[in-house]
Amino acid sequence: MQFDTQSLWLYLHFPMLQLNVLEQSQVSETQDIDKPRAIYQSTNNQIVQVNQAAFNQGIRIGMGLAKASLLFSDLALHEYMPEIEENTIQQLAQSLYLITSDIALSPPSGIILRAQNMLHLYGDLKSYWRIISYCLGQHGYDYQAASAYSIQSAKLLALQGKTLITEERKAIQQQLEKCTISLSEIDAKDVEKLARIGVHTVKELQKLPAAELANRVSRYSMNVINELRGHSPAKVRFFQPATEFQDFIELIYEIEDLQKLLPVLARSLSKLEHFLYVRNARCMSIALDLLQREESPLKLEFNSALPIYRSSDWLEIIGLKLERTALSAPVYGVELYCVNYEITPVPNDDMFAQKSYHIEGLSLISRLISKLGEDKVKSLSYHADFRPEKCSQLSPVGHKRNKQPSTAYADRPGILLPQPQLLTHQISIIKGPERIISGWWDEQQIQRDYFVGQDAQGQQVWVYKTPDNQWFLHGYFV
Amino acid sequence: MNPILHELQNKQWVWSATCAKQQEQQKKRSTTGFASFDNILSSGFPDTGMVHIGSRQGSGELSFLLYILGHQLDTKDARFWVFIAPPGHINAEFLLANNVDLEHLFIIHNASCEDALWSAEQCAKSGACANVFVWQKNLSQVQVRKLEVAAQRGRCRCFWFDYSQQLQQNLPLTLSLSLQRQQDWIQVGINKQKAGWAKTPVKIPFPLRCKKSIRYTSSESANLQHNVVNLHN
Repeated sequence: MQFDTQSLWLYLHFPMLQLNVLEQSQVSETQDIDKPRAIYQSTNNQIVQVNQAAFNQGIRIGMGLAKASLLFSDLALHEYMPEIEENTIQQLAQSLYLITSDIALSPPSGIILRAQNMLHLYGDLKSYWRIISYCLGQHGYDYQAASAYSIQSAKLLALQGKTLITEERKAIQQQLEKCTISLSEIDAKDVEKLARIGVHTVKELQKLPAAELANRVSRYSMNVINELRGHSPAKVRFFQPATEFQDFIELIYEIEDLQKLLPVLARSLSKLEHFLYVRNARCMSIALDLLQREESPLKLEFNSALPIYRSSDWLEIIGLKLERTALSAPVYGVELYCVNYEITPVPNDDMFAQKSYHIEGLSLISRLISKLGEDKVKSLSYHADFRPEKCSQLSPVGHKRNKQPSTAYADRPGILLPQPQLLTHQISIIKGPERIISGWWDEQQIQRDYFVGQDAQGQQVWVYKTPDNQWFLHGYFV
Repeated sequence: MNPILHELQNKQWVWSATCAKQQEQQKKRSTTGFASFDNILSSGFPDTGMVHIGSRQGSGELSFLLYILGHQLDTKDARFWVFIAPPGHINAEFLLANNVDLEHLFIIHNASCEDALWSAEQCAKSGACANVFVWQKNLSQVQVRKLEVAAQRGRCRCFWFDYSQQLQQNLPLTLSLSLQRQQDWIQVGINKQKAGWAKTPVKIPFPLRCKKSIRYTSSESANLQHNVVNLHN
């Protein structure tokens, strides 16, 4: 989409995004947060992000690996992963989307906001910026911001580290003129060419006529220069909020005890809670990938019988399931997904209407299933069959079942043994026999004569005799 | 809430107006359907709390209980009935014959003792269950206390079937019964009850269903009976 050269843009640059993300995702109990730490880009052998402690040790951005490790041998190094930063600015854009309309991403670590149309809403730039900086403050990432009348200028100012939020063209121009062009988007080759003719800053660039420049630099660089000068409009594609939730956390430590993972997951889940909250949505299942060292990722899925969104509810379900999960290798990263969610219907019930137990029931069942496993929590249904062991069938809880039958035997025992046992003690017969011959159609034919028996202590049992005169105990009249 | 206050409330040392309602609930009793049993039970069966039933397995303990509960069935009550760790498969036919709604029922089986008690507590305190039936051998004072508090909180009854024939004294139960089958009678003794004294056992007529010559659960039985030829009766 194209814009005129009159609108005001804000550029947010996050200089140490991956480092911030990494440090935030850790549990605060470890004191190692203050440990010298750096992000290293292996493709060009450069340190790209350093934290304060590492900076104090003399480690600077742009150093090679050898130099850095000579300066401080105990430096914690992490490989630069642009995907982490890209995901994070996606999330930042998500939360900024609630307060500002036109957002464009400038991967891996920049966000462009169109401030012009928001000025009417918030009154002036100052109050607009207050809201934006409050929102950024909540995330706690380091950032550099600048405003300008073209995206390229705003970006250049922000990259230079000049936090300049103003509407005054003069002030912007003054600061812009001081900037070196090497940080701009102008092609590196062209920057070199320009340097040869003595052009290092924007001021020097602006002195040259456009026609002369066009002979020297590529078309792409020319577009950037025109934008910097304020002659040509910006072309951007605006951000659309994601429809799925996805979050990746890289751990500083490899974790073997899954319970220690819970505080880390809590952060991710509160992001999910926010994601669902602003959409007025709830979800019934989330997926978690535990990335294991030297093993394929362990994929877990958590289900709730009732759609929920609160992180505390999810944490409870996850905690219960993780208790039963065993790891084959230490975990170094965690990925959380939520693909399907539903919009919460707004109930219009009377507040004083009779209390429904439905919700408590569903959340109870999901809690039981997540702790015990689906195979241990069952519902019971009746199946019309003459064979006693076929009458009762266990099925997963929550499945819709057929209507209850109208007819069943009334004189059956309450407890049936899973396997009939040989009758070992003496009983007296109270009633019987009742012959059951059935099941010829499915290879599980039975022929039994059932009796009701009672022993001297008053225990009443259901026994049967097979055609070859063996006696079995099949149930108790509890 | 203030953590101290919270702790005090957990120990039930603070009285609050909501407790009054609960206490009233505790006092609320409903008839068992047997006059003599009501008599020794200080006028009825408790509506909430933990009930211990000591008997031998197979003396009609569950059917006796279901018969009593059948007198109090509220058709609007859609709360769950939960059977936890039964000593075998619960028979659906038997439950149907005792007018138990299979829709609102689930079973937790093959669970370890620890899991069974945990689930019992969760079910009891959730407020979504009307009756929780637990089969366990020996429970400690702490375990019983937990279930009792949970049942009071969730306003449900928690039945503990105990076949061990030996009951530890002074467990914090709402009611403790011992059942003994004597031919067509069940002898019911009260070991302990919250509102009242232990009483001398009473004999209640409770024959097996097969002796009552009721073979089928519904009126449609007539149709079915055409297909069955009774050879021995």
